[in-house]
Amino acid sequence: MIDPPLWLIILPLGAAIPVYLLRRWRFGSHLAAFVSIFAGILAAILPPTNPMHLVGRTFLLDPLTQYTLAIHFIASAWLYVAGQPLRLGRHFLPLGLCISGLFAVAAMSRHLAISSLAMTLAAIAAVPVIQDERPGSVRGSWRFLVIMCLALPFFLLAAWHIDLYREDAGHAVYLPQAAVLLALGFGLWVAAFPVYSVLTTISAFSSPVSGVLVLIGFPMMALTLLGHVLAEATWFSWWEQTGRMLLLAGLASVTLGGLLVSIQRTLRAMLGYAALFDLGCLLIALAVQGTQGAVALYAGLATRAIGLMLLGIATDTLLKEVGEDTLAGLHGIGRRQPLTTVALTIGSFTLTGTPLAAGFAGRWLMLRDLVQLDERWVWLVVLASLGVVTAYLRALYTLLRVDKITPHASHAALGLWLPISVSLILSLAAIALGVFPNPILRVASMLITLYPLPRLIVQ
Amino acid sequence: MPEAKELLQMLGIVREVGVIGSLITGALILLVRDWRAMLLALLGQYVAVGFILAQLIPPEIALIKVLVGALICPMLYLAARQSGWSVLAKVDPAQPFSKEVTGMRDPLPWTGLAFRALALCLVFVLATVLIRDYPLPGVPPDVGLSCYWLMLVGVVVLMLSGQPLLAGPGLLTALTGFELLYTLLESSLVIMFLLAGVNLLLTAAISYLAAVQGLNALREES
Repeated sequence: MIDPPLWLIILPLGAAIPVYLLRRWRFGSHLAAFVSIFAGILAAILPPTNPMHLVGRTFLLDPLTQYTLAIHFIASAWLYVAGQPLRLGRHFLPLGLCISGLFAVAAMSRHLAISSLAMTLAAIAAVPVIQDERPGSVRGSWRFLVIMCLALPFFLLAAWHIDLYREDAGHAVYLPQAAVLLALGFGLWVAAFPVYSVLTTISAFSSPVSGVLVLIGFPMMALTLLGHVLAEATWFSWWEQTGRMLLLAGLASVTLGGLLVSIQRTLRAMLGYAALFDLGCLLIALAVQGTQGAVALYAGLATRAIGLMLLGIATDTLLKEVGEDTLAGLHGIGRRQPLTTVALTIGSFTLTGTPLAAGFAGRWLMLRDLVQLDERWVWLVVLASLGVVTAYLRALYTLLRVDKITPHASHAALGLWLPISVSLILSLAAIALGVFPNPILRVASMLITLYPLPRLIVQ
Repeated sequence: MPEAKELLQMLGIVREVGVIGSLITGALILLVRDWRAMLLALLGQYVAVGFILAQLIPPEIALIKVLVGALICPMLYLAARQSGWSVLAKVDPAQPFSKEVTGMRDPLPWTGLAFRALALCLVFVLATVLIRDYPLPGVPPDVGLSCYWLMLVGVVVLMLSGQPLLAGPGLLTALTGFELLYTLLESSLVIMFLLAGVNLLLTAAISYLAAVQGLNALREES
């Protein structure tokens, strides 16, 4: 009898082969989306289970893992549906499923060595997804591969130190080393400041939809595993230092993202910096948990996925429609693609936490917690948000300009109604969650009860 | 029939030969910019590491490491060949990925032989200082030197090139240096097999990226 949580591994990995064989037809993408959405629902509704043992290692499906896997699986399903008409590479669907299965292994494993190896395998599988069979620069996928592989030794050595301590408490002397190694490893995985260029190059040198799959999944799984260490590791006691480091990395990422997004000239590059800004906000939310705990973080994980999906699908649709994504080449295209333009704007508002968009409630809670610590940092985050909003408003202005319409050779024979429909549904969902944020806040609050994270910086 | 360990002893292969071999092959990977020579050095490196490990762990596991290395090098070779090595071979080995060939600007045009030789000397000094001040736990000093050496050389190669076919052996070298240490610490077979899988799939990813770049080069030429 197979334990029910193991289906979260078996289903996506098992479906990868039939999906690869059927990838040329629309049925292939629908099958991938169906498997993904089924796995997402399964992840969300499975009852708490006892720890499982597989190849001598412990696996456990905890509430945080359920939540993040559900977000990842469901976001992947939307991207599979939207991605098929956008003619993504043949690796996108099957390797996307493999990545999901490996994420499930990494998040459920309670041994850091297994988790880090599964994450590294997922990163390797992501290389063809990021490259997407495009000619041209391989910089994005190469940099991502290098950073993810260089993080592996830190995790394996940390896991070895922890195993030694578990066998004999006399080895507690090595635990500070393990903590430092973990800090380095997570620093590389999260790809926040100072290795943020991983995120921005992935976005700039990949197809937006496949880039978004990576930009949603990897930082979220890294934060999940960090959450496991913080909440479950009995040996870990460096809360204050961890909080300070996360806050510093978060503030630096927010500042850089907000500052540099405004000087980007392509939609793909803007997407990378907007994702960096949002990741910085998540790190701040993890570091500075106020009276309500990590509600801002948990809500932010879901709204980040919605915002990035909107930006990715809208950017890819415009890219396919026009053949390029430079702002100079997109003059007036917004009038031909009004729904896509709206999706792009709502996606950017969701990521920046603008009122009436899905990210607002979580961002507001994060700012309220941050103001308890230092008011100046709140202003820094707000100014950086303005940077992102301004950049996308500039893009909107360009897309809607009528005085200088660039003659576009239409590539729309591809039939882009499906990605446009997906972005319309996601836009409506983002607005609905912005106006009525209670459902997402209720889920986040429930998760706080089921899986509380320790408070890192005591205010 | 003699067992593998006895066979190695019969051949007179000792750990020191492996250590010296790893130092030489690491130096070659940093100094040489011709990818064919680099691949040969990488193959030699896996054999050298296999010799070191054969003296310290069960030879069967050491043999797995060598076999993985023996698979990695042909994979990279085939990728380079399939992606139009004739184009790459025509180019000056000192600048095999110039802008004319790849369509990309070489980010570090000043990394000539003299610079790399100087970097090599500094890496060696750093490795000896590290092994003196931070000896690796449970690892003999000469093997520890090899570990530090390979990891540092790999990272420097990664810093000096952004081209998968040239920097890929650097990434694999850094991981080999780490594995030399980790194999002596961790005895779990599951993790060893997963690590071998990571190495093989990583090589497949490097080959894929090299092939994409090779296609770019062919497109440029046509």
